[in-house]
Amino acid sequence: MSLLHPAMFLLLSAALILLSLERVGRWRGQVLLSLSLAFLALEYEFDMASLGALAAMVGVHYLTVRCMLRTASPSARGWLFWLWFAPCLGVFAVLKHYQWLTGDRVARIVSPELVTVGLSFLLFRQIHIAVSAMHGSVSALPFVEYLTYNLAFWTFLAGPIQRFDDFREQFGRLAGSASVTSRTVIGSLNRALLGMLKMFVLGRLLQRASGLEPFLADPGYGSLARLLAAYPLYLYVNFSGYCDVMIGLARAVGFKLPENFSSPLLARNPVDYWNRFHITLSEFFRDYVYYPLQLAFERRGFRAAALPAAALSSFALMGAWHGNRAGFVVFGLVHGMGVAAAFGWRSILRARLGKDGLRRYMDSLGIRIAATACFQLFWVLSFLPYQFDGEQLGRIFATVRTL
Amino acid sequence: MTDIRARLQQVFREVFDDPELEFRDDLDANSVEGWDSLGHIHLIVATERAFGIRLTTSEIARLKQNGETAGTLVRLIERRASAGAAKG
Repeated sequence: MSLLHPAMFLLLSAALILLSLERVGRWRGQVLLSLSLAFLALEYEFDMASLGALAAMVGVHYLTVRCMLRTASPSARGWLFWLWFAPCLGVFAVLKHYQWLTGDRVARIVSPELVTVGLSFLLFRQIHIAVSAMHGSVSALPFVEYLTYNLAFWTFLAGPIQRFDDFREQFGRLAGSASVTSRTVIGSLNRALLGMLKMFVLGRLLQRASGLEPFLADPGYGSLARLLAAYPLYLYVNFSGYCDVMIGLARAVGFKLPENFSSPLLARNPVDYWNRFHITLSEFFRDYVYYPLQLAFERRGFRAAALPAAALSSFALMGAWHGNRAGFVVFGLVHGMGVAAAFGWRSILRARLGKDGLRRYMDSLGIRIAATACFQLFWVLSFLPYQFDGEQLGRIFATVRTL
Repeated sequence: MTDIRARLQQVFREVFDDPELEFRDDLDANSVEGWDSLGHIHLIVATERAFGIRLTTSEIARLKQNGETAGTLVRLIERRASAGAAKG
């Protein structure tokens, strides 16, 4: 269902009207959950396989976490976590239809849209809750809050990924908060409108410019530059526009979502970039993959191997999460190497220049401009395996050789 | 300065290679040079060694979230110390 679908407007209008009614009061959470369930039914066009897979994923996770909360022993909670996580990851891999893992042996079971977005983001929220429960950081799991957190129409498809304690705090304030005011709604819709302009005007223009055919039909340095830059820019503009819409909608119904972008085009290296681009995703991978892996190596004394191993593994996983072709893993590995190299370069500079010299280096405008330009080139090139398959890349390289 | 803060000051000075660093509860990633993702892990490992504790993934992640400061680490260590004393 497109954001411009009339049903989306009806859903939002229903939310705003109901939330503005005084008598709805303490039932606001239930109202938002009901509207979110209606959104899912419309989004997946009442496809029972997709909705059934979703219900099973949510149900199994909820019961597992409830068991974890009733278990006093940390090791038993750990076992429960792995008993849920290992099969869940296997089912997710099958549903995601990884070509390099299963080939065409496994038929598509659920809607590709549900897996590409939707389930992929749901898995993050579920891992976050399960890990928190395993470590005793979550003490209660009220059913309506849990369901709304996982299925909310403003974050279900593609985030931003909000943390559960943050969500609970805001959910708890819903019942006691004043009714929705026109000022809040106008401010929120402004943000959503900005997002729609990014997605449906600028995004569409970039999308049209991002195809392979214009370059092959008219090879030249200009069309090559357009081929390289248009797709990464399209992804950025389209997704940051989508996040603007969702942050605006969420604000209208009483939730403040975390920001997902902070001027990524100004990034000077891969570390800086992932602190600015799809921030909630990179924080998730940092917290749940990169930190545990690096800590595991460091605690065992393998300090030299810790950074490259953790960076490569977590970025390879992040790449695999983005899509089902091997090219996505290559994209992740390239960024993992970039992150490890950026940290290594910083350590070298710190050792050679000292603390004050490094600060001067980082503050230098010339260095900043040069580093940003170099990184942007790295950035657009890294998207080649993300956008194109092997056969298409072969045609691109063959054409580039003729220039 | 409490014992925990004094020991943390030593840890911070060694990890961030800054012998003049003065530990305060309001120190955060923006105010300490080198407290990035890599520095955070080195800080965690050094803290674990200094205090003989093991932090969980959730605690480590929380320490790096926006708005969290060195004071959060102090409170975490204090909680661990009191839990250890209660067990003992």
